[in-house]
Amino acid sequence: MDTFERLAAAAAASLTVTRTLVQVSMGSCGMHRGAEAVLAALRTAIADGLDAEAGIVGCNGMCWVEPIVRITRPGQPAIVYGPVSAEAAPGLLRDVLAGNLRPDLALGTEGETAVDGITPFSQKPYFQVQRRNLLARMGKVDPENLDHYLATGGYAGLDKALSGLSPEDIVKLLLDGNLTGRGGANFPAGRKWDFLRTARGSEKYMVCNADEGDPGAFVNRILLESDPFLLIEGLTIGGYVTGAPYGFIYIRDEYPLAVERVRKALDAARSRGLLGKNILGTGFSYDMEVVQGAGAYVCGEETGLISSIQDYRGMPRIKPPFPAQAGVFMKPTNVNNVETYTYVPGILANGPEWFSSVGLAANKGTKLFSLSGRINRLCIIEVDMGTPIRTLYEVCGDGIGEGHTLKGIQQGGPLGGVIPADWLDTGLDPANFNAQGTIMGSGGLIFLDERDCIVDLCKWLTAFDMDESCGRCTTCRIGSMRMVDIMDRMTKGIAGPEDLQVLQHLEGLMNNANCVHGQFTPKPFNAAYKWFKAEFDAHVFEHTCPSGSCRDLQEYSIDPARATGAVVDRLVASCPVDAIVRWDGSATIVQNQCVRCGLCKTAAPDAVTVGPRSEAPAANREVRYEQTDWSSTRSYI
Amino acid sequence: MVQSRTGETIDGIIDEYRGRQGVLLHVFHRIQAAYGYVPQEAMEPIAKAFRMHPSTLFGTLTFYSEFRTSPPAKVQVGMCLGPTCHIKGAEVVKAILEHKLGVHEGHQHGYGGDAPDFAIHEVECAGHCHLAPLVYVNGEPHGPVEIANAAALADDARSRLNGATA
Repeated sequence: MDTFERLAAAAAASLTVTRTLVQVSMGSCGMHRGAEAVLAALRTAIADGLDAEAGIVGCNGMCWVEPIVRITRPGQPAIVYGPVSAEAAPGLLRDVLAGNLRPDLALGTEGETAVDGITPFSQKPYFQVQRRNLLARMGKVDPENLDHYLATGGYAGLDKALSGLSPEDIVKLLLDGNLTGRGGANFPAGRKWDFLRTARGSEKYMVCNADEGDPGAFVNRILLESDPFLLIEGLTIGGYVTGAPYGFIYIRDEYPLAVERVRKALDAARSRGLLGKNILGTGFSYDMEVVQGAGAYVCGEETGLISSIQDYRGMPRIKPPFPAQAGVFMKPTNVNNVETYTYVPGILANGPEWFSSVGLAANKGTKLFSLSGRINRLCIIEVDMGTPIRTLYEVCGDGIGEGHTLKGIQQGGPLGGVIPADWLDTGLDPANFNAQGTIMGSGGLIFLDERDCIVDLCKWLTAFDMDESCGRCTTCRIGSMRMVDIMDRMTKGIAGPEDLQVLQHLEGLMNNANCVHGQFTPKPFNAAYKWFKAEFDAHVFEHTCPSGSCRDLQEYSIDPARATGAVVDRLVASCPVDAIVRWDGSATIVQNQCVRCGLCKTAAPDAVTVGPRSEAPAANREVRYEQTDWSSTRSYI
Repeated sequence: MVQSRTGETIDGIIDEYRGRQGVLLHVFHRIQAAYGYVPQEAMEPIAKAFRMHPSTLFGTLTFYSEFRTSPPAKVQVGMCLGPTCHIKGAEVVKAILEHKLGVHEGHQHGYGGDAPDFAIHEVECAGHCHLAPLVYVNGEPHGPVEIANAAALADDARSRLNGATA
């Protein structure tokens, strides 16, 4: 059995480059942009005689410039290029080998000083505002290579734990560092682990919740895909602390690459004695497996997730009993988020101050955020807790498109909320959000501009919650459906002021739901109504959409006087849904077939006019509250 | 029943997991990978092997949106309807694709049957918002699909069908 020292010493040389090394960023974000083709092109060029080696590397969070290529010359710091297409990649490598470092394509160098006009990352504002504790290895190591992980300080935390720290010591370290759950609830992880440690019986489970279902939040994706060993080390330490012999990593189905990478990483760790029986020769045994989800958002709720692991529908249940008393197979279980587990190895290796010296008094450390929506740079970043949103928006995300103004930010997923643009100077601190009745959530920030309708967005968010409701409690199942019905009528211009009252009533009612999914479903509406009341009022009183994005409130019509001859042909050809028909020498639009895509307006701007809808459209469901005949309802009281 | 694509049989897959708890999702995933869907013929052997009532089994199977109980379409169009895709016009792109391909979004319900030509189904947001609105055709990402390009994408999907049958 190898000791940690021997493993680490053997792996230390794995990062030394003796021949020019060209690596392609192989996160799923890069692969969606053709990273595999880039790698294939580079491999062909190398087979044809270029003196270099090809490999892969994890994603470094700069998703907006994928595919990214990283080139390391022997004895030189790596230079990162992007975006590099499959056609351009061999030429880039040829140039670099010939001594031309191609500053035009470069994003930066990982060294400390500029090379040929290529700025070091450490001097770029994008990196300067970040503190990369969890993302330290991202984009620098091969996520499938255990040697790379060991050579960059990996498994030092587990070694420290196994060579002298008792489980109580580690719990104390976590409590000293004040590591709180990163999934949104912010419960101290040390206390949660202590519950499981002191729970009776030897059959216990550690569960990692990697069912990151929030649309627009993808911070766990980068951790799972680009540094899977970090999570495995964190969970192994968890097993040592709590005495649980087995763990589950529940990964959502939409991250197939993450499932593959974590499975490969588990095999690699097992083959080197870092997982399984008698880990590092210390007599401690622990193993875990990956459970691949199957597309149910509600499995992100811990009791739903547990139910899903044990062969049943992923339906949450009422707590108590809490998972620490009765979890997987009714045995004591601990459920934590990916980010929480990945913090543990660092806290052990570097001491609790490494974690607690940054961030806020109540919420320490750093937090990962993903920026999307109208933002110019889609990226995943790590900043100190309490960093103002403006820093993320302006420095990391580079603002939104020119000529547009920021309107609001959708945060915390479909159970979160919408905050207005004047929150830009507010710090990203869960307490700030809780004080205003909303949540910071797991790290997704979706930036919206004046083109986006808040009512429509609320409808979308609530409709997502409705689809994903497990259906166990009527409050959530029917309540969310009613909310969507009402908002649907608002976006179609057939809602009245009484509908706003009903929505507010539903909010109180849905507090009675069994789990947080139902209880938080009205949250987006709450937050949005608080800050964007004028927009809701415009929809219910005037039946107009101030942002002009509610398509059901628009009507396209063709002016027969202007649409003649060739213009008619152009109009008919432009319509993708065949809603424009020839009529009386001109053309007309079949309104109930029109999807209001606006392509006819582009094809013939003079002949087409856009105005408010002349006829009220049909609602999803025709029942209106004031029309309901309650007299026939039999009273059971 | 269709042939297994990978050579694995239902009984073979079940035998690998027999006697273990908490493996049903693995079994369903493996069967779907082999057959393209979870055929009705698989239900009875699974129920027996894991000592579950067939109705419980069916409840689990149909709870998850990723599992299919009928053969997948020859050309599958996956639409990301995440918030970023939504605000960038995914609904209109979807309406155009639905019209052009003659199908409505949603899974085919019921058991078995022949594989339809086209199916449009919703894909959960996986954070590829730089490609919004994002459309997958047979798993291959296309994006950003502007409203003006949606009709061309539908033609592309149709040409794949012709290529597949020719």
